[in-house]
Amino acid sequence: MNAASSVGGQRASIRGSQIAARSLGLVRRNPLPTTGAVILTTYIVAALAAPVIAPYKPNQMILDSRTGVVERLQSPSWHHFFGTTDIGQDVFSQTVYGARVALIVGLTSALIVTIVGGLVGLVAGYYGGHVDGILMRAADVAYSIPFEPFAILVVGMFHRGLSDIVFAIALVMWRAPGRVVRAQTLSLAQRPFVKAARVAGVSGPRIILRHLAPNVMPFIGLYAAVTVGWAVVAEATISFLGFGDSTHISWGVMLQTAFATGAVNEALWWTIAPGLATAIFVASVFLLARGLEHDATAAPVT
Amino acid sequence: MNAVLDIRDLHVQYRGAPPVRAVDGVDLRVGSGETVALVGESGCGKSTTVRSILRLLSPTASITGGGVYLGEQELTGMKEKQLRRVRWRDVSFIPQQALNSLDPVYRVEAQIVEVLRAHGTMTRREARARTAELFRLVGIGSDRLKSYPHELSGGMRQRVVIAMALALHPKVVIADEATTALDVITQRRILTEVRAMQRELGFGMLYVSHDIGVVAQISDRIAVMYAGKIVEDGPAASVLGTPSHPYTMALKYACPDVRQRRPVVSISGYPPSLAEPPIGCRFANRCPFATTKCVAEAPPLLAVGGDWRVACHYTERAHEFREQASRVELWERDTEIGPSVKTAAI
Amino acid sequence: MGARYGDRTFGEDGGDLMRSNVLAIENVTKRYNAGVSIVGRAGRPSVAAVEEVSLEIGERQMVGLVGESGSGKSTLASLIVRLDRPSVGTVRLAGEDIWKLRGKRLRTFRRDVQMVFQDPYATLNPRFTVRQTLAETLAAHGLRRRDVVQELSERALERAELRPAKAFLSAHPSQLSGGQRQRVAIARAIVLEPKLLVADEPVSMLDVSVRSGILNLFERLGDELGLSMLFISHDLSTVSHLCDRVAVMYRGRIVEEGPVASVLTAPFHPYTKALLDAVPPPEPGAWARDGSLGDELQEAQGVNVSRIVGCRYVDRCPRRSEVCYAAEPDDRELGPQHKTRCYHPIAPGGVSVLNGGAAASAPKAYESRGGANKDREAS
Repeated sequence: MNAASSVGGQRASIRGSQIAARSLGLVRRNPLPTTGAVILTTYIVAALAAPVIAPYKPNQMILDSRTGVVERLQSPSWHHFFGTTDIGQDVFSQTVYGARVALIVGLTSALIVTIVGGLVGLVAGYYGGHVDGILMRAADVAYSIPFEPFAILVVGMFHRGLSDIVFAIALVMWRAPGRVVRAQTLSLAQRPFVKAARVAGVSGPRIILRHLAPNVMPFIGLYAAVTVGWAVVAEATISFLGFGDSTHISWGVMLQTAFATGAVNEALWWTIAPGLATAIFVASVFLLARGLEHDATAAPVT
Repeated sequence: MNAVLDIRDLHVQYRGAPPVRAVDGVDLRVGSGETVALVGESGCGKSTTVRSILRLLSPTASITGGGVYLGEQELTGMKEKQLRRVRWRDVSFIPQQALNSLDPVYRVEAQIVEVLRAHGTMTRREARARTAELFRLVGIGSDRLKSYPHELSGGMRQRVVIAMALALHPKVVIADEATTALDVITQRRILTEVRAMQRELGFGMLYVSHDIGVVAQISDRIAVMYAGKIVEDGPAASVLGTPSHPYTMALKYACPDVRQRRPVVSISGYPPSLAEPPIGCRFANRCPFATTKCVAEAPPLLAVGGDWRVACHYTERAHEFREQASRVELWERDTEIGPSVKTAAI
Repeated sequence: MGARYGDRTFGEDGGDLMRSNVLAIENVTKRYNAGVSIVGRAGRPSVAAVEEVSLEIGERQMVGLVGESGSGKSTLASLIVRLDRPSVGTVRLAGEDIWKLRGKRLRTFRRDVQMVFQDPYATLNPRFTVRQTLAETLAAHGLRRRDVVQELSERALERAELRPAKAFLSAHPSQLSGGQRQRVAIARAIVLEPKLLVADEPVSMLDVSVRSGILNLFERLGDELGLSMLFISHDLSTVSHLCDRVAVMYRGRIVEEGPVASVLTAPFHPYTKALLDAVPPPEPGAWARDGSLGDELQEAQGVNVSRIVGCRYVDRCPRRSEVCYAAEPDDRELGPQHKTRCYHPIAPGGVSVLNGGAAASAPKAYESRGGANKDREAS
């Protein structure tokens, strides 16, 4: 090893220890959001690398190589980390692939809900008058709709699977961020720098985009984070009630099948895995959201 | 006159790297029955000084030197328990906005009764009687005893707060911009009434303000503060009548007088950063009369006659400076971008 | 770059009167719905922040608007810059009703009428650099080319006495003091060379020692750019410093209006007089000499304005009588260009009772601004 590479090696190790030190500092200062972020990242990695991580396909019926018999209801073992279902599917693989569904449903819903809610809030808050009236009555209607029955209705009408659930969420759940963003916008619009822009002749959309939206972003971000968790649970609920999309094995579908086949009492692993996966996922999102909230509401140094 | 409140060489710092020396060696005395005004602009340290008296500083501030004497007692070194007894009984406080000290969900009588009973051994009946007396003193009709704060006009609310401050017959009352939020007519009435009350009850008053007009009319003595230090301190007629510190002169001529129309001065430049205060006079960078001596050496606060003190190297030339100080061009200079590190709200 | 109206036919009645006015407010009322407990005069629940106000601002005129909080002065400002719409009455710029303007004409309005706000710490978007703030105004009027924007921005900053302009362009509001921020706000307002500038308490949140710098700046800009200004303040002394004419507002109405010199030395309306007497002068001992306060300085009692049928000042006025309770007094011209609404105005040449009958401390004669009043030395 010549001098250059050893110096390089030293630099690399110094940098490595700096990174370690900074990470440790980060964790110490913000333990909860960091934990949340780490867990969430694990899920994301699992979802993306599912084909690599999961030993089997989620709906693959696994046969014992020796006997040719379906490996039904096997308790957790080295072959099947989380055991198998009543038709020999690997629960671990299902859980891993389930992360994909969770993330898709969660992220898509969050995206739509916050975009719609944010836009509605900004427009209603800035323009006021009739526009505000109409939008807020729409929000009131959305508030009056109970989610689960509505989602079931949508699924029943359209039979398109997962997208129905996302559609139902989008249609109804924008109401909360909509109201909050509107309130924020109302107060922001009174600030002199916004009035000055209006007097200068800056158009409404531009004012909303450049002056108002950046200042309500933290709140929207918060709602996005919360909606992700909420949407996953909503999907699980709908699936559990039997209205889920069985072509995509989600945690909710897993639970539903487990209960439907009456395997609950015998095959605990089949319910614990998806249940725990869901709970930890939602918790991690929540922790991350708390960290964001702290940043969003911290008093700025003037 | 015996000083009822005696602030000696007070030093207060705000946390930082380096720390901000918000109050840097301030001496101030208030006698009984006397109104002393503490005048200065934003960031000069007057609010910090006053909050130090009752130790109501923000958590990032700390008293690093000097003392505050109330008669024989020294307040900065006192234990919290003792200080609590001093607060309100011996030294009370009138804040700028009455709304900051009145609880909106309780009637005003109840709030004063609470103060009275918290600090003494009065029965409820005694406290109510005393409250009625106080209302008479401050000029609120007894029909308002049962009102809620939002039912009263701004002026009346401020009077309630004044009544609260006087409830326990304190020796010293500190008023921090007490009438700034009121309209000018109410302000005049209340200030005049407070002065009358002062003559009757004999308390000393430390009135903090940036309003030269108000200060000119109600104070016996004026202390002018700049960048953490007192630059001039003396009888009101002297300090504003014949100011001897260039900054005081500038303040006087910066005040428009509605009774006569004359050009009004504006000082260019900015106060120095208190995180790294200059070695010399802190006003030197904006003073039209500054010399190299001013920049090199900080002038001490020295007596120029009786109880009148000025911190300037050239007090003997004050009359010369006064003649020129009313000229607007004297104070104008090219502006530069101000410090990019904002000093903490002082 | 000149944004002038040029040849135009003015308004429906198109009188000569309109030609010399930059801005005319005609009998404007602004009502807000207040809720169920207050019943307005028409039997509907409402509170009039501004009631039957008329005001004219001519070319190159500086008009002051004085009033305490609650007088309606800020509402009036919003009505003038088209942030709010009057419930009754018209606002005209060079004869045209500003609420009938559309498209390009509206854009011209937005170029010609600008505003400076009270709070220098909230008047600039904290996330924008000075350059971005100025560029936004320019972009709203189609000026986006980098060289044009640079040149106009630098010129505006220099006019606002912020030098070196280049350095200020890249600054963030957090690096600037209150006075500097307000100058940036002024630069923003004048970058398109407007005809009318509305300033709502522009110096009340600034330190006393920097105020006159800004006031002098307004005066200079008025001359340089041929601006008209409406200068709103609760502080009579700042208004007296800068304006040709002054209007005094009380509870939504203009109670007195006239040349600064006459209104401030010989006011007709008792409220104006009370304001003048109440301002503390910087000369020590003036109040002590004045003696007792007397009836003239009475405070607001928190009366519900919409229940008053007569003159709004009646609950506080030492000169009140029967007739004052019956109906609102009309606006009458009692001196040259000097009007007031009062049944018992103070006689011209009236003196302050507070001085025990002696003339108020000899006020220096005011010179009209039109003259060469550039003499900077104090008397």
